[in-house]
Amino acid sequence: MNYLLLDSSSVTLNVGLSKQGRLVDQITYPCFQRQSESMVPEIKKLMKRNKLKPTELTGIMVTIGPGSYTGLRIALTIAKVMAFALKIPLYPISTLKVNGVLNAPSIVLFNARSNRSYIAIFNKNKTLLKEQALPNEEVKKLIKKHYHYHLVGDLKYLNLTGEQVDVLANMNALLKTVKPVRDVNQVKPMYLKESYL
Amino acid sequence: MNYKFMSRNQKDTLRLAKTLAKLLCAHDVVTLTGDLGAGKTTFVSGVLHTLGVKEDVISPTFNILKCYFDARVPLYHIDAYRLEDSNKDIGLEEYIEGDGIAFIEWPNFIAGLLKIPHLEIDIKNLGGTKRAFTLKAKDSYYQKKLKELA
Repeated sequence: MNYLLLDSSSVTLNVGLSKQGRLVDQITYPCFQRQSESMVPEIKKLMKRNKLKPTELTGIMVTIGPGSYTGLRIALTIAKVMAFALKIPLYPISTLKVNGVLNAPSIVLFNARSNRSYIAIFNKNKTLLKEQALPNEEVKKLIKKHYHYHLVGDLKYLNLTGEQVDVLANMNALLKTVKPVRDVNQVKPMYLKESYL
Repeated sequence: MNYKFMSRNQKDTLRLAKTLAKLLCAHDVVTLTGDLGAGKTTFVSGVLHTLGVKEDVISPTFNILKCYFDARVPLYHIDAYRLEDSNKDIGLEEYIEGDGIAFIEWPNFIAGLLKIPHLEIDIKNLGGTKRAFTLKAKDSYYQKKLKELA
């Protein structure tokens, strides 16, 4: 059971390999706006050093958003092409979910720009607030209301400090909760901005 | 506040670009208007070369966006010409409200993304090599920069 884990929804490039439920290898580094050049070579590198052929992959897990417009399309396009060619399922997952603190209540935020944030609130495996784009004013109220929750994300744009989580470790842990998608054409980015649709 | 600059030739234009480049920092946004051939791209190339970019600067009319990561500050050169009437958002706000300097040609086609303060530069072709530059700043941050320029 070999799963490739891909994420380029934000400033970091994440490529991971999950084997029998364990995250056995990963490549992670800041690579904003250049992920399109690096993701395929890094996948190759990871597969090679784990002596794995593409045909030995069981499935591909990928974050579908919300997040960077181009960033989302990079990992998702690569994941879809590979899954289609290899006839293996995709495991699409919310970017905010994999950025939460698992097993604890957390508010996960990303800068959506134009004074808005992508936000979701989770408590263990429950979603208290579904992924959406909200004005920062409302976001600040929600943070105050849930002051005892973990606050996750790069929150410099709100003049706040957020926690950072290990995205690939979370993806690996959440893999078993995701329903596989066989028809890869069904999988679309979750932009959440009206103007992107 | 307005600042007018008469450029007799390309050398004058590049001198203005050089002076402005030294005043710009990350998160700054500059729009450029002017007819085809007015010298918008020439002006941006002057800024880029001042910021340490070695390569030739070409207009991003086809690509819409060109990124110069090896400039002293990342510089994003946007040409919105091909976005006219498309009503499409392609994530340009990540660059306009990003970590670098954004130069935007044909800003009227993405007016929705330009509600943030910015510096406006208009170039008029006066014939031959002569160009009239008008630099306009509506908010205090850019007005301060224009004062330094003038």
